[in-house]
Amino acid sequence: MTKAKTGALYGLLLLWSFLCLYPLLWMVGASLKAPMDVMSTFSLFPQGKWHWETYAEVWNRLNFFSYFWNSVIVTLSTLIGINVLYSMAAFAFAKLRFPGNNALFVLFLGMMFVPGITVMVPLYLTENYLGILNTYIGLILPSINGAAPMAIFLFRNYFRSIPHELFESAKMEGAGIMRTLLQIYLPLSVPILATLTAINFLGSWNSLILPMVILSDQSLFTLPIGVMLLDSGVFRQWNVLMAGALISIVPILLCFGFLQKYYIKGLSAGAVKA
Amino acid sequence: MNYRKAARREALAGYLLIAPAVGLFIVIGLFTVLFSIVLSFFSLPQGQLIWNAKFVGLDNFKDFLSGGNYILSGFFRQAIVNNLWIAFAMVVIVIPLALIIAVLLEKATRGVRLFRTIFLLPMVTSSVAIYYVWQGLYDPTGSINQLLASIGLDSWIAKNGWIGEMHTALPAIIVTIVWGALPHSLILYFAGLQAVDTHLYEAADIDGANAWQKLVRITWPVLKPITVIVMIMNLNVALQVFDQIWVMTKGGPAGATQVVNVLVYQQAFFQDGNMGVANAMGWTMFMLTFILSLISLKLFGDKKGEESH
Repeated sequence: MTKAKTGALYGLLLLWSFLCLYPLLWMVGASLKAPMDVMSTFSLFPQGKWHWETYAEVWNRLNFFSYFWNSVIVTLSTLIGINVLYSMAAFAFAKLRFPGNNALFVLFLGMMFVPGITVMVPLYLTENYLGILNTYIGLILPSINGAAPMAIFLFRNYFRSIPHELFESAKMEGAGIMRTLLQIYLPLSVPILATLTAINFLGSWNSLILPMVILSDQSLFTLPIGVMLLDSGVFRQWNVLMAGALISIVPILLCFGFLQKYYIKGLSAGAVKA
Repeated sequence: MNYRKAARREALAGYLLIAPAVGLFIVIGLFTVLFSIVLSFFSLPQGQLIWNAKFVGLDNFKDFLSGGNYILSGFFRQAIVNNLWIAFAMVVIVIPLALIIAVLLEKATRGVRLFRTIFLLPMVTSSVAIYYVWQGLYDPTGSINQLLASIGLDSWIAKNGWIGEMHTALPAIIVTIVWGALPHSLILYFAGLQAVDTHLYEAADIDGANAWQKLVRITWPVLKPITVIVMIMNLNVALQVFDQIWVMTKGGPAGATQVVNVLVYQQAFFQDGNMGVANAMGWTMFMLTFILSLISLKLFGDKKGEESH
């Protein structure tokens, strides 16, 4: 490539990088400005004092501490549920013979076509009847179930790619099915565990409609709803809103930072199933 | 050895292993889906108990499709037109733009990993938090208007903000959706380009193939199946959009950004809504998404034997 071409190439890549980063930088800058300065100054970051105290206010007085822990509890439980339930089910689908094996597997995969918002009404009515409306459990169970098609698909394919001799020799040694799964197959499946964790962490953490429908008790609210509550006043305080917004995406950025490789794998896998 | 006993034990173990997943699936998945389909044919006003539901046949569908409820039909028509505009924009903007950026990224030799990380951030962070940032950028005194003022394009300024005016609200929302959805397509194209066997290009060079022939014969066969996936994915995003609209405009101003899922949510959980109508609307939208996906598959999907010519 000529010098001019290389320059143009990196120029365009930098331009797109800027467009990707600008909203995030604006968020950080706005959260540190004085309330009146957010909309009146064009500079990205505060020109005078940096108002770190806004974060303390949002975290303590505006309940973000509580929203944050609710999000952590719901997301972690969802992730554990997905990996435990669907590694077990996929192991049965991949390795064991029983009547209905294939039919059930296909039925699970078919669920990925179900539109999320449409089933909210019956979900709401069902949970009301079961008495789990407005509880953590009521939020966690649908999140786990929603991840079933992809999780079962990925685990099953992966288990099948592991040579069957391993399964046979474990059987010969007298290992039960549970032990074969826990001690031989799961330790080999770390890439799948990581992929499902990365994809579903983001899905569960950012989920908006499900908590909106299921939760009515403010002490159970998760971060996305918490951020929306910051906006409920007559007069919008941009610095407070952006501090809350930033608190809500820091865990996402951390998760993405550590699991980027697996997240990208998940994006491709998720596309193939679509 | 007793084979039948062993087979029975294996089957039992299988059922025990899938039991928790299947149990959850039956209660939360299968049951709600069937319940939802059934509810589409019943009238259940918001706030009423389930046993007050009344069978109404296809009336729910008539209500919003063919003017059975005049006001609701108007809202639905407006919403579906907006959904289709978003879908159209997603396809004609995201696909070429994602492909171009993926090609540029593939050509780059340094900083590829860093660029890829940055390019993924819009998708990773797309959430309530980011939709408020976009609201800030679109604000009457926000960055976009300030930028236009500072470069002398005062006549371009949206005085009520970009999402506050009838003719700019939908395009502004589309920009936000594209920003968040583009990385997924970009990553798939990038992975596809990396998978193209570079030896094929060298062989083509030796045979004297020109750039166009290389594109059609070597690159496109790899990118074509990805394009089908990307297209279906983006149609799905556009027709099922909810979060962005709910946070940024709630469908306003005056319905300019109303979409079907917001209408479904309002019908289902707001006063004066009807849960039966909400379900009927949701499944109508599902059918539309499904049909458009099938059409994309037919248009771009691999036809057997085509490669042999």
